Amino acid sequence: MPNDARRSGDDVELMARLADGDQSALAQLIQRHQHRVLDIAYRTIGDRVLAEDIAQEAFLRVWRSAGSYVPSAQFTTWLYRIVVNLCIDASRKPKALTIDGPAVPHPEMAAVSSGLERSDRIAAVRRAVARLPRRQRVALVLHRFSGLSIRVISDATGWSESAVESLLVRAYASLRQALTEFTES
Amino acid sequence: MTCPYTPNLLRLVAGEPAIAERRDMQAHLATCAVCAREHARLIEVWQALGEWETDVAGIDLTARVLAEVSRESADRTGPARRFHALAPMVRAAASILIAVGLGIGAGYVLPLRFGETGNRSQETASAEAIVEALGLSHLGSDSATGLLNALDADSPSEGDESS
Repeated sequence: MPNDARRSGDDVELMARLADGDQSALAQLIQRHQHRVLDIAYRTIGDRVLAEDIAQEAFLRVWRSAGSYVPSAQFTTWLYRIVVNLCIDASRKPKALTIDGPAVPHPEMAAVSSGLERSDRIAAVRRAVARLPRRQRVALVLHRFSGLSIRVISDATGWSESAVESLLVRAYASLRQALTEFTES
Repeated sequence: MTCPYTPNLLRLVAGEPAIAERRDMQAHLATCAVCAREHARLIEVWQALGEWETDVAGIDLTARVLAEVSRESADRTGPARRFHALAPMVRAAASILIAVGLGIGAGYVLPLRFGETGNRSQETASAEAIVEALGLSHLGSDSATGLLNALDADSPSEGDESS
């Protein structure tokens, strides 16, 4: 049995246990998926504290919905849909997308020029991603950083495959333009 | 200049296609300058994005989420507890409503049975009939009459208002 399928089966089993009131099943689901969820939320929102709040709320919604959960799709697709919706709601609020954390390294670290260049590149990438329109950003994060296929992104977002593809083409084109300085060097 | 094959490059860069399809795509890239250039650009952006790493691996939300679950579970039983606290007041309010309802009902029904004139209007209900309907007959008809008289005496007369 492929790894993904086994893992998904385990997730469904954990959801059944959670529906029966077994909170240790929720702990296992969190342990399994929290880093992916946090990664999506952080890259989409750009604020670590907000990303943690979103991840927490996502798992609370998993718990609240356990009784009515129907495993019609992969558990992760359902979970990502919850996360994406929370991220989209959060990104409508003005405080979102600050992209926290240092944009450049500490001056002592900057002594190493290659380190500085890399740090500049990373800061530029973060800024460029943050400037993408909301839907392009979500599609890009799921595609590039979560490694989801266009079909799975379509399932997770509720957008058609052609819409996802179009969002991705525009997102990568914008990023290429924004990162010209780094990609052409 | 564009090539209808170009949109497929996203899948290729992301490593989505199976081996056979990937081989076909690579064969196409070898013959199509448009796609070859686009593919090279996509690879550059793809690699640049790959430099952005997040350090979320050190975060563990388990305790935090389970604490929130416990808090919400406790809150779910909260409303029942609050209802129990309100129960005496609810019972008192219900008693008052029933008493008022009975009083109004008596005002409509009793004239049919006990009214001196047989008229259905409320005014035809005698003081004694109202008192009996409200279960106050043990006070005696004198008390009821006295009570109504006292109420009449408290009402301001037209003469008072005009003065």
